[in-house]
Parts: sequence; structure tokens; C-alpha cells
Amino acid sequence: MLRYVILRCLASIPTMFLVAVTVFVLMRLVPGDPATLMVGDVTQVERIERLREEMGLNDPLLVQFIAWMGALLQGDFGTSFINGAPVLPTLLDRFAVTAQVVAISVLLAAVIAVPLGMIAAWRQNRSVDNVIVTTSIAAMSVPSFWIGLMLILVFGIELGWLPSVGYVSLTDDLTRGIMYLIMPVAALVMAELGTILRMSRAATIEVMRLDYITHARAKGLSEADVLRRHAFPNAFAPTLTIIGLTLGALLGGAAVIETVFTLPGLGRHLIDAISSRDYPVVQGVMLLVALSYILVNLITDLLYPLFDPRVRL
Amino acid sequence: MKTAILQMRDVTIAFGGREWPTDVVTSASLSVGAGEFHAIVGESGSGKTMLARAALGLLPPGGRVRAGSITFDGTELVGLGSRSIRALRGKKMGMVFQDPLTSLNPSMRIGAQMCEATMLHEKLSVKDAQDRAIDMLARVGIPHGARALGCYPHEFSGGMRQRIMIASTLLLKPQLLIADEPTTALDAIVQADIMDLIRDVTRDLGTAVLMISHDLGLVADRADRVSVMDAGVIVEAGPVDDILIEPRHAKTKALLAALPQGEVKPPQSAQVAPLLHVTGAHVSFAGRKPWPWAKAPHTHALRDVDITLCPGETLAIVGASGSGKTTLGRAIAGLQDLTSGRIQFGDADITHPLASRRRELAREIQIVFQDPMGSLDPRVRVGDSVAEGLRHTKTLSRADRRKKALTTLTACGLDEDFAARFPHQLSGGQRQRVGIARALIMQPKIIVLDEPVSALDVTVQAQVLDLLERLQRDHDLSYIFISHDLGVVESIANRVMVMEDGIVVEEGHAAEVFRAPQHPFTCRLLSILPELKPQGRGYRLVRRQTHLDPATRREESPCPQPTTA
Repeated sequence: MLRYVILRCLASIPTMFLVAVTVFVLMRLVPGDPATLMVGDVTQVERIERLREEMGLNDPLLVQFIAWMGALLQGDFGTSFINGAPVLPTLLDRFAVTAQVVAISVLLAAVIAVPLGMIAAWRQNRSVDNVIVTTSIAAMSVPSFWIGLMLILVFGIELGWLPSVGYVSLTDDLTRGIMYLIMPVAALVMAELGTILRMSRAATIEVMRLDYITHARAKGLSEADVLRRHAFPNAFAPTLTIIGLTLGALLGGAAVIETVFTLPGLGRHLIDAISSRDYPVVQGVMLLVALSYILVNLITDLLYPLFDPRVRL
Repeated sequence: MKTAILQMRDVTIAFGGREWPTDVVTSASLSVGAGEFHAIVGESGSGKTMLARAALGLLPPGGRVRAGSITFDGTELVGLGSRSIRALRGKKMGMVFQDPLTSLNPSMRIGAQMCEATMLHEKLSVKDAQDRAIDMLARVGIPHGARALGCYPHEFSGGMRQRIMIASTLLLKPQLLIADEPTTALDAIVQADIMDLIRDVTRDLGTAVLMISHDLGLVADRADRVSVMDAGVIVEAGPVDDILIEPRHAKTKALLAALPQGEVKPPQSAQVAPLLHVTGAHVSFAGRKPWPWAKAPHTHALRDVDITLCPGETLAIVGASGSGKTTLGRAIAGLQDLTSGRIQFGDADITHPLASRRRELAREIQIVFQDPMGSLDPRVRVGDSVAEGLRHTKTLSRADRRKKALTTLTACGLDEDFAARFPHQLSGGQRQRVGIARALIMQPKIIVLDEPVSALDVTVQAQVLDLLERLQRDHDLSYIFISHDLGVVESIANRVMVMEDGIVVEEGHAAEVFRAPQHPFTCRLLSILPELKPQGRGYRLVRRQTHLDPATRREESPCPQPTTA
């Protein structure tokens, strides 16, 4: 187990390096120059040139890359081109917002979708199954921003029950924080529910066919016990992978939802940074996203043996 | 007869809708007395499993008892509510399934699985339930019960898992144990052990057994009564001895005819140059490295095995699972690299599978696999599967290849219209014929048959073995026949090689190995073989001589040593 964790951490080093190189090169391939954007006037060539020199943009790419990597290895993510603020603290603030929304949403989606999927599988091809599957496909097919807009329209504007714009941290004020989170979380849950549900259903159908389920019934267990004790642990293992992947993907920024609900999250931060060609911020965000993705997947893999003891790490 | 514990009267089981039901069992009646060992014997698809499952109310979705009555200990089960039938399940009636690999929950510890039924039905405390489980494990031959309770199913072999299943089912001392082909997925020796175990433990507990099997020989000397099923109908029933001595129905006779008859083939005439010569074959597999820089642990599947195979000969390689027999077969067929050793085909060295010379000779050695389902591509039509091996033969046009595939299929006993079918539209025996046709179309000199009949019913086994013998005569083939069961090999082998842990422990002419085994393991394999001796119009079941006779020493193998070319 410990050996496995160490090996996986070592294996993530080249991955992170590749991400760093790719992001660095791609950003510089994108047309547009941060200095020009900052000056805002293409005719002031001299000012632009001076700014480029100050920001180190005139150095050869390799020199720029080495300077950035050198600073990174000392824990220095650099400073933003736009406002001169250090990249890392802002990044972590923004990440905390996204992480809150995303973690709650995925957890909630899993708690709802896994049992529903199992019930659908248990009643495969009967009316309960049809209702669950149809609803989940419908929820999957609707874009999350539309759900978000409708929620705002109904609960924010028409009924006025919930605040529709802005964000209050849960740690600052719990009740107000929850009020602000309800709608973005609901929109994300709706969007992610279907995938998890369908995985849970498919895995359960697979398991319900096996002899040990019939054996459990032959022992005289009730259907609820058969599902809970025998079907769930075996059907949950593959679903766990999907949950992990969803979590990892969303942590990289649920940009659409953040934009709709004007949450100060990582996704919006990244989009702003890209449009202003704020190289250090973009690079920092991408590294953080890659790291969180790797971590979430590592944790998923570490949880796997809990549900399937045949997996040895 | 003792009082009946399970009574089925005119039971008809149907699948499909109310309007268009398809009956899989028609008007079946049988009764199992208290403490009786009752066997239902029939081929797959005869409805025997459905009949047994109906007793527990565990028919697969879509199935139902359409007519008739099933009473258990005086209670009518047809139409009984699910709560009442659950109270009977496990407590009064237990069931053991065919495949021990899927009938235990892989994610639960043995202890939790064994104890849940006793805790449910008898409200035992965890401690008491565990003590009971440990006692029962000891009775089924698992000594360190306390430790076993903490293990997961995958830590046990198939035979051990089946013992655990039996222990877990018998924990509640049910009045009836339903066993659905409980040993079909196991090696021959383990098979006999488990069968004896079921008979002995249930006899001690006074539990009646309803045993479902396709193998009359396996149940014949353990059961009290037998019901023979064919196409959903019980065609013959009665005490075992009566059925053996005076079989009335054609299906019963067919089931009996499929059993080993104790006839051994004569050895191949000597003084022919061997076709295949394997010397010092050694195969080891590298395990998982603990660290990237560490040395991988090795397991040895084959240790210094020598083989010679003469033209037209059948060499049987017999051993338990894990003995290395399959690895040897794969190595000969060029599917497995040797770690060291040499394989010669005639004069040519074919040790290295990818060497160009080896490739030319690839068509000379073909292989037929054990699992007729998994060895055919489900999306490819049978005819195309058979013709595929010819795709590199440039001299043949598409039409020629097709024609050849059709004639080969016909030679293997399949009509030409089978060519257009997909594998799932075929029965197990038919699929295995396709597998044989696929090998035969290359006009090989040698076919490696890796357990070609062990996934089939005994009656189908006999048909496929007949086919193999006919093809051998017609096409001048040499066989390497791999099996875990000496009984299967008896009628077809000229020579027998017995393997254990990657080593050849015994080798000789079939007649000698069967008459005077030289190794304890061979004796064990022989001792479990029932043999039918004709008596009157029927048969008598006899057990083989099993003791070692050191006085009978053997001559050398019939093949001359090859002159090194």
C-alpha cells in the first residue's frame, strides 16, 4: 500500500513536468501579447517594448522556461502580469470556492444516483426502471447553464427565495453560505447525476446475474439485504471510478456554472487569465488542476480495495 | 420408502408471456424421501436445473410454474408468498451452485457470508454463529476454520470454495440440499472428493439431497434414486441399481454408453521416426516486481519435460489444474516461449515461435481450446472463422477458401448451412466442432487438444471423441490430448503422460498406465473412475484397482530416440 503510494507519487512527477511544458508552450503559441494588451494601444510601440523587456518576454523561450521552473521548485508561482499580485494565494482562494461547490455536488449526486441506479437495476425493464432511466437521460441532456438560468429565474427572481448572484464562504457565515450554494450545487448535481446513475445501474445489472446473488436469496435473505450486503459493494467499485473522474474533471473548474452564478471560482479565474494573456496565472492554474486530478485519481484507486478485496495495490 | 420431504406433481415450468408460454419442463413428478440422495440426470437444456430451482422459488426472471404442485414437508410452495418462502430458504432448503468461482461474494469475508444465514434464521450471536461455522468447516475438510473466516473467497482454490459453499449451506442443517452440478467446474479428483463429501456429510446430518448432474457415472454409486430427464420430461426414474441393470429409455442408454467402457487402444506400432520431439522444456513466469529495480520472483510452470510424438499417435497429457499441462500444449503450438529447452518438428527446430522457419511450420501444428464459447469470435460467422487460417494461402481464391471451409465443416459433422451462423446460435458441442474444423482446415500433422471436451456434457463428449477418432484415421493426424480426467482419455489415447507440478511423473502405453499405475497420483486419478461392466441387459459399476504394484516394471517408450540432424 505505502509502496504503491510512493510509486504513484514518483510517477506523477514526469506527468506534472509534461503538463508544465505543454502549458508553457501552448500559451506562447496563442496569438496575442500581454504587454500590448496591458498598454491597450498598439501605436505606443516604445512603451510596449519597454514593458516586454521588464516582463522578461524578450528572453529566449528556454530561458523564460528555466526561470519559471527554477522559481516553481522554490515554491514561487510568480506574480500576475495584470495586477502584480502573487499567483499562488489568489489561486488557492479561487480553488477553495470551486472545491466547495464541486465536492458537495459530486457527493450529493453520488448519494442520490448510486441507490437509484441500483433500484433501477433491481427492477430492470419494469416501470420504475424506465422512469428512472428516462429522467436521468433527460437531466443529462439539458445543458447545465440552462438549468442554472432556469433556477435563477424561478427561485432567484420570480420567487425571490435564494440569492442569485455572488458568493459567501461557508466558513464566514454558514447559513448565508448555504443559501448561496444551493442553486449552483443543484445545477451541477442535475448535470452529473445521469452519468453516475447509469454506471451504477449497469454495474448492478452485471452483478445481479451472478450466482452469489441467487445464493444470497437461497439463504433466505430479504431483497433489501441482498441489495445492500451483496450487490452494493460489488457494484460500487466501478461506479467509484466514474465518481473520481467526474470529481477530477470538475475540480479543474466548473467554468460554466461559475459564470452563470458569478462564483469567484477557479474556472472563471482561468478564463479571465487566458483572455488577458496572463501567462503566470494560466500556468499556475493548469498545474494546480493537473495536480488535483492526479490526487483525486490516486485517492480513488486507494479506495478501490475497500470494495473489491481482489484488487491488490 | 421413507416419508417424502419434497414432492413434485405434474410440474410444468414455462417462460415467456401468458399468451405464448414456452414450456421448459412438462408434467414432471418426483419425490425425494427424507435423508434420500436423489439425482436428476440429463443433458444441458433438459430442464433439470429449472425443475430444481422451482423448488426454491428461484426461477430466473420470466420463468414460472404454470401447472402442478410442489410440496415441501407438507407445505404447498406454488403460489406461496415471498415472505413465507424466504423463511424456508436457507433454513429448510439449501442450495449449492455449479460454479464455485461466482457463487461466493468476492467482496465479503467467508465468515460474514457463512454467518449471515444462521444469524438471520436462528438469531444466533456473532460468536455462536462463528463457532458453528468453524465446526462445519472442519467437517468439510477445512482445518483452520477460524483463519478461513477472515479470508476472502479469492484466497481459496475452486475445490476449497465449493467446500465452503457446502459448509455454509449445511450450517442450518436443512432437510433438503439442492446441488446444481456442484462439481462440473472442478478437476476430476476434486470432483470425486466433493461428491463423497456431500454424500457423507448429508448422511450424517440426515439431509436429503437433490443432485443435478449430466454425468450418470459420477452420481451412480452415490445416489439412492435417479430420475433421467430429456427435453423437459422425466423419462425414467427409479433406484440406481434398477436403472443401471435395466435401462429402459433410449436417453438413459445413451447416458450409460457415454461412460468409460474400460477399453484401451493398443500402442502405436513402433519403429517410426517421431514427428515431434521436445527436450528439456522449461517454462517459468516472472511475477510482479515489488520495486521497479528489484528482481521479479519466478514461478516454474514446466520443469525439464521431454516428449516424443509419433505419426498417427495420440499422446494424452493428464494432470490437475496447475500441473503445467496447458503450458506444455501452448508451447508445442507455438503460443508460449520456452525459457529453455528445444522443440523439434521432424528435422526442423521450431523452438522459437517467431523465427521464420517456425512460421512456415505453424500450420502443421494446430490447437483446439477448452472453452468453445470464448475461443470463437462472437461477431464472425462460423464459415469465416473456419476459413480464416487460409487467408495467407495466395493460391486459393475466395471461392476456393469458402468451399474448403464447407467441406471441412461437413467432415466435422456440421451441415453446410452452419457456415452462415454465428457462434451464439450453436450448442457447446457444435461450437467445439467448429473449433476442430478451424484446426483441421490447415491440414496439420499435429493437433493440440487442450481439454477439448471438459466443458461438454458426457453424451456430447462421447460424440466429439468419436469425431476426433474418425478424423485421426481419415487425415492421418497426431494428437496431443490434454485432460484432467483419465476417463476421457481412456478410449482415445495410445500413450499417457501424467503431470504434477510441471514434472512428468509417469509415462507409458495407455494399457499399462491403466492396468498397472506406477505413481501414487496416477492411482488417485484411476481410483475415481467408475467403470461400467456389462451385466445382463444392463451394467454393473466397478471401481478400479488402485494400489501401486512395484513388481510390474515397464519397458521403454515406443518411440526411438531421434538421430540428431
